[in-house]
This record gives sequence, structure tokens and C-alpha cells, in this order.
Amino acid sequence: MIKFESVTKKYGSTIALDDVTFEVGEGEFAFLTGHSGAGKTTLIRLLLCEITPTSGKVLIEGRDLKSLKKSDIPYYRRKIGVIFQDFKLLQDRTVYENVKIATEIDGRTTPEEEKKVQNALKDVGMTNKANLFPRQLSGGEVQRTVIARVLVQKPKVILADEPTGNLDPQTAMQIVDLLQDAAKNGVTVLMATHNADIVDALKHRVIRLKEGKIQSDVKKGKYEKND
Amino acid sequence: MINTAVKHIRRSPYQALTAIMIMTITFFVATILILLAYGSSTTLKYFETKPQLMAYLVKDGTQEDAERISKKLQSDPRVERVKIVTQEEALQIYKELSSSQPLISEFVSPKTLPISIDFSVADLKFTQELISELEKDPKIDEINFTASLGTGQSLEEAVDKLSNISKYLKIAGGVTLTFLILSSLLVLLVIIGMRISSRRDEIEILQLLGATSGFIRSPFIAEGVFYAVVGAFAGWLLASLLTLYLSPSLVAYFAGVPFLPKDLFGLLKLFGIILTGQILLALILGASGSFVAIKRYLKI
Repeated sequence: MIKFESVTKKYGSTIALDDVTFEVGEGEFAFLTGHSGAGKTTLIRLLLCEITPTSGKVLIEGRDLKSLKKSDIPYYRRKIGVIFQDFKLLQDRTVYENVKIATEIDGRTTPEEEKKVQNALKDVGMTNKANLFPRQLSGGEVQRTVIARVLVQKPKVILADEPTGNLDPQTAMQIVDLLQDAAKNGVTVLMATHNADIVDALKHRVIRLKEGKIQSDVKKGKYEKND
Repeated sequence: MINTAVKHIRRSPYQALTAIMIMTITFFVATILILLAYGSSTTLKYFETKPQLMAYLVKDGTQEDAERISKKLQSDPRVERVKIVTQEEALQIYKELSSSQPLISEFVSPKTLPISIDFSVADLKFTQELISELEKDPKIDEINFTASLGTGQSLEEAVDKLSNISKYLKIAGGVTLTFLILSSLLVLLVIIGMRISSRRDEIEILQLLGATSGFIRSPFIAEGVFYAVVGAFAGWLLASLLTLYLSPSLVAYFAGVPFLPKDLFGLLKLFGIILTGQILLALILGASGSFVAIKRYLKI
């Protein structure tokens, strides 16, 4: 599903990613670990087509992202669900509206779509908070809203950039459980994290980055203390 | 799109009010100027198409002579409305004009008055050449303008004056309107630009979620169009109400001159046409103002 072929990304003279090659299959759940500045966010930005690689290829479903025209990028992004550490919710819209926006962007406005929004909110346990605004929610609730938004997108890939960064351990585990459920349903999940407890507990694949290079790629990995 | 635009407006009501007020002023002045232009051109047309010229036949001129000349004039494209005034009709007019002295008119016989042909020109610029051509006819004694405006001015002078006023009104109106439209466009541009700047985060989120540029831009366009259309309607309404309020005085002041349509239906029809034009202009103004702001501030 996701394939990096000798990808290098430079910002001026700074090398953010250096000859990175890996592949993540359909329905696979993989952690991306590494210290701050290791290149995790650059890797996610490449997958989102926010930036292009200096050299090498980034492929999704076999398609080189460089071949995408500017006008194709919005349609491509609709297949990618993104969860950010800073949530990126629209502050002046309710939980319900924030989730529904994903269907509106996709031009889906039928009553069935409204039902899907309600179901997504139910799946993340946010039905009773649907009419609240993000500022009225706890960190965990905000992140669950983001996950509901991702779920209604029906993405093929979920990219999670430190989704548990601001959450207590219990809430963080709830969020990861939701992502695991998505992976069980065939969605590829790539999660950048610093949360050692979660990485160690789930025993999923761990791709470890260090100074822009892949340091290790272990099928049932653990969190390295140096990260 | 509409919902998002309404939310933008509700969130910053003072900016919205500023845009709407500027638009209202522009379209209020536009409506007044259009009404003035309409009034001046109908007044001009009224005077231009009034019977203006009278060709008097020589004393021995006959009805047949009058009909021959009348036919010639009727086939001339420079001439509008031709009417033969017989000796009896001339006497009747004379009696009406001298009604304060009935005794004098009693002594006047129809035979002392010449047959004449009343006609008007399609455009006053043809007057002199027509007079010159007609004067060559041996059966024509003299050709006169029929009336003055009672102020010592000839009709030609008055029409010239009116024509000048109408011309300057159109120029001054055009300049004022251009200035106001440009000001409105700039205000719209600044306000939509401010809206875009204050919504940078939202725009970034929408982009990451896969929103097309059309999806992101359309609420801003809708907002600009909304300001312009509401402003156009408000400006038109104010100007129309003011005109309706003043119309009895205007009709009385201009007496028989159709400065404005005399009946309510005609007036409402005129207002309807102006509103349609204003709304179309508002749509163009709103969309183009927002479009320029988007091009300038929303590079996606």
C-alpha cells in the first residue's frame, strides 16, 4: 500500500530523510519511532503530498505521488486519513460538524451520509458530545472526534502523527484501540509516536528512524530507549 | 457553501455591515443617477419630438400645394409627424390664442390666414438643412419655429441646453459611479482579504482533508456576492422610496414634461428594470471583488 523507494528529502543543506526504503502492506499497522527531528513528520508530509522528495519515489497503491497533478491532490488526500498531535479541528464548528465536513468535502450530502457520521461518532463514543465545540472537550475527546472524522472518510491509509502526545495513558490506549480496529478492517495505519508503553504493549511492526535514516525495521518491535 | 458564508458574516458583523453600507451608498447613488439620466433623456426626447417647425404657404397657396409638400415631407426620413393646418384650423388656433380679446378674432376671416404645414424633425441637427430645402419651394412663404419656452429662449436653444445638461449629467454620473464602484470593489477586496487571513488555519485543515480549491473559495465568493446584492437592494429601495415620496412634487414641477412615468405601473416598471440591472451589476461586482481578493490572498 505504502512504498518508499530510496527517498531523500533535503531542506537546503539539511537532510531530513536520507535514502529511505520501506513498504507497508494493506491492513498493516506500523509504528514509526525516532527522536524529534528524526524525519517522522517529513515522512508523513511526503505521504500527504505537502512536500515532494528531493530524490526517490513515494508510492501509494503503486502510484508515484510525483505523478499527481496539483488538481488531483485533493482527491488523493480524501483516501488518506490524518490524525495530528494538534488535532486540527475547526474551532467554530461542533463535534458533529467537524466530522461531517469530511463528507461535505467529498460531495456526499445524502441522509445516509448523515447516518454514517452518527455511526462514526457512536464508534468513538462521542454521540452525547456531538453538539459541543472543540474548546468544550477534553484532549481525549478531541482526538476521538478527529478519529471519527477520519473514519467517515473511509480512508485506505491512516497516518497518525503523535496522536497520543497530549493524552493520559488510559485515553491514549483507547485511541490506539480505535486505530487497531480500523487496521482490522483493512486500513493501513502508520503511526508516528514517542509512546513507549503503547509500542511495547501492541507488538506491531516498528520502523525506527534516526537522523533521517531507517535505523531498524522490526516485525514485532519494541520501543528503543534511545528514541 | 451558503451556510459557511453566513457563518463568516455572523462572526464578524461589523465588517459585513461596512461592506453592505458602502454597497448601499454606491447603488443608492447609481439608482438616483439612472433616474436622472432617464428623466433628462425623456425630457430631451419630449422636446425634440414636439412639433417644431411651421411652413406657411404663400397667399395663393392651395390645399393641393399643401398636400404635395406634406407628402414630400412624409417620405423624408429626417422628418417626423407631418400635419396640414387648414385655414379654418388656423383660425381656430388663433381664436384660442387670443381668447382674452374675443372681439379682435371676430374680425379675422379664415382667408386672411395662410395654410401651413406643422412638422417635427427626428433630430434637431436636420433643422437648418430642411429649412433651406423647403425655402426653395415657390409655394412656401416662410418657415418658423412654432414656439418658445416662455422664457425668451427658442426651442432650439432650450433643447441645446437640455442636451448639454443631459450630456454633462451622464459624464459626471459616469465618473461618480466609476469612483464609487472602484471604492466598493476595494472595500470588498480588503474585507474578503481580512476574512481569508483570519481563516488561514481553517483553510489549511480543509486542504489536508482533501478540499478542492473551489470548495475553499466558494464561501468567500458567496460572501462578496451577498454583500453586493444586499447593498444593491438596499440602495435601490432607499432611492425608490425617496423618488416615490418626491414624485408628486416632481410631476407637478415638470408639468407636462414626462420627467418620470406619470402612472404607478410605469414607475414600478422603471424601478423593476433598474433593480434587475443593479442586481446583475452587484453579482458581477461581488464576484469580481471576491475573486480578486482570493487571487491576491488565497494562493492554494
